[in-house]
Amino acid sequence: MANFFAAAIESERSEAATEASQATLCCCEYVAEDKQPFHMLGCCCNCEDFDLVCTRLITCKRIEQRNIDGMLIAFQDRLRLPWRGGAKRISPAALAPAFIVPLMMGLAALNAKTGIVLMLTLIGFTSWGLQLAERTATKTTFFLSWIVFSIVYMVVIFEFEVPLLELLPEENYILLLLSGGALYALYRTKKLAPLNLVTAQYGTTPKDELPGITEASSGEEQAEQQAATDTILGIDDDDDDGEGDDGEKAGLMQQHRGGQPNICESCRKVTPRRAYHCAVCGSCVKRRSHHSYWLNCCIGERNYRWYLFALALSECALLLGANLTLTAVCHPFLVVRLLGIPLLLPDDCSEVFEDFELGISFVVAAYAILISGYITFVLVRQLYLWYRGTTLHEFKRVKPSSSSGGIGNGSRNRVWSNWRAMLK
Amino acid sequence: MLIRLCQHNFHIFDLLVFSAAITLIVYISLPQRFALRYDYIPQEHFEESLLAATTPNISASQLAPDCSYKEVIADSRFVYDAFHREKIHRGEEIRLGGEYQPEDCRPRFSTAIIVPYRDRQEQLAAFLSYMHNYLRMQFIHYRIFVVEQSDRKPFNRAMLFNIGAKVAASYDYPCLILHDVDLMPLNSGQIYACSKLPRHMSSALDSWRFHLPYRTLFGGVVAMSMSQYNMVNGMSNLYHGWGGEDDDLYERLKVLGVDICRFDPAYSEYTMLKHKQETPNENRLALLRAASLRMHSDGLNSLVYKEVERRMHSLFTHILVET
Repeated sequence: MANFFAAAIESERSEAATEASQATLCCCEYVAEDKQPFHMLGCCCNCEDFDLVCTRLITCKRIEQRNIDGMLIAFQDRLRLPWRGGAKRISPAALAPAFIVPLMMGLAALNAKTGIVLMLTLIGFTSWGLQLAERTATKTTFFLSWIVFSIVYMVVIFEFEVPLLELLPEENYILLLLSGGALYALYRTKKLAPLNLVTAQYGTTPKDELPGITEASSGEEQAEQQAATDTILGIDDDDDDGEGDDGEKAGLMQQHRGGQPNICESCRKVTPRRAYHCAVCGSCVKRRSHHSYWLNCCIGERNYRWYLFALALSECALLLGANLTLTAVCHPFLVVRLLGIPLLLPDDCSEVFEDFELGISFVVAAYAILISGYITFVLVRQLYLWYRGTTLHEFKRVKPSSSSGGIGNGSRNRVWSNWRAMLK
Repeated sequence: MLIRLCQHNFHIFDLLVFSAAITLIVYISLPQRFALRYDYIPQEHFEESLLAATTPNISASQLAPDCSYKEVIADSRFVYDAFHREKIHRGEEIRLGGEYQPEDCRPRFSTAIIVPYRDRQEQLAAFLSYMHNYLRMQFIHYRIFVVEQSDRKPFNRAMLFNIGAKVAASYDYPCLILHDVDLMPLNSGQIYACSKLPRHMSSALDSWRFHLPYRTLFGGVVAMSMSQYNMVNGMSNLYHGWGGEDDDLYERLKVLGVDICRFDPAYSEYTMLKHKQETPNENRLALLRAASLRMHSDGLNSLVYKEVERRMHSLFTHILVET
């Protein structure tokens, strides 16, 4: 097992080295399967397997499996997107949403019946897809790509199809700010995800995992290590800690000084407290909450705050966008005037499907409301767990064993220290 | 593929993406694509901006004190509810022909409300029952003229307004309100009287989220004094079909240097009853371009029509015409 992991890391390093050596690739060039540089314009050249398959098909001869495999591998290898530093391979799963999403929206905008049917199909398909992903624990970019393309199409439809003459510029600016904030928070969540992974190997003495060791290292490493130790031990800068914290601190110190460091069986790494293994990421994650299939990363210690921001901001952006779109497209009525700002809600949407522009705006708004409903559920659950001072992983583990008694008097202290660590 | 700018190397990919993003953001944020905030007369100045003018019979007769409009404006509230819409309360106060003047005080404003109409019976019924309740809360002297087009040619709203204005002039009304049959005011403070400048009353339509799409919008409900209407020679008679005649009227006022005004949006909220979308008249843009040139030859002085019938209903004066 250890050999396997060592070999995997070795191959990763070598690939990075070869990539570094070929940093002079233009954006349309890439390194093909046979390790030779290739250009995107040559995508139709040298398709031996494909030629063979087609010839055999036309002349009604038997087609060999290895030719089909070679053909499919060549397709996958040559389907690329121009990117800085070399063309990047696109997986079909990542590209599919670019076509599925607008197709679905367009069909749903034709009339009310197709709209309802397609929205229900969407919900069913998404739940099935998520369950499938959870069951097989696959790491796929399909859902992330789905989110990205949904956002792109929603913004495009809003800015170009919705009757904007009925909106004030300030309403548009607020929507853009909220959307921009949500996208930035999502980007940070994803960017910080690799920092959650536990990197120490079994058998080595990881200086950044054991407490109290401060060697002459770079400033960043030291700060990270300091932060790691602080979060492990719950040490805070503030003075107004309760005594409960001292008790927990003492307990932890004892555990680390006296006992063995925790070792994860699945990935054979030395893990700090409250780090759990994620089958999809293939590693232990510090204070793991859950693996988010939508963002294709684990939510843990470093990006939990950004994750909550992203959820809250995108909820606001989606609801505001849906409200603006629906009140512009349907007949609105005034509910109440808050501080001079009128709150409008749509009351009559019967003429929406007569015009394709209005129809697609309505469908996009309904889609945004569905998404925001789902986000509400996720957000409420996360906030409840945050209030209780636990993470989703621990909540799910603790619940069936009903060891609520075991949490006991340490729970309030843990809540307090959890909050502080979260807000740091 | 590096470009050197300001002593730094930038990759062309980055520059392209950056400039595309900037262009997109600038385009999305342009204020012209949205509704606008407009100048309006604030609530304190409503009363002084109104033109006090009445028909001769009002000024001559009454000994009652002048009606006070300050409370009507200050106590403006939402009145578009079932109570005011369902039926006309105290209908015996309304005189034949759809005319009313307040008993207890002397009104300072006399208004002729001209409503062009064809075929929309439910909307007319809703309009009449609501507007009679609404207008009597304002203590003005008013009369509702419904001008109906009896032939089946395209609906010529502007010509019907011209006809209504001529009839109202024969009854000596100094103030005209050109009113669509499917619009109804939501708040009670929008005084149905003319102001010194022609006033666009329906500036906050509920189907447009109570915003004004563009400044030169002059359709829906417009208050114009009879003298101003005569000065611009009324509206153009050539707009057969939907669209353009209100913009034409705006152009005529602009030629004479007369600007339009609006009241505070909170008082100008109107609701539009649902109706089938009309097909726009294709000629309207061409007619609109030559609007200022046609002003003195096409309008009230070139009005040709046949009055089929004039009848005094209990709620309105009905003028049936053939255009």
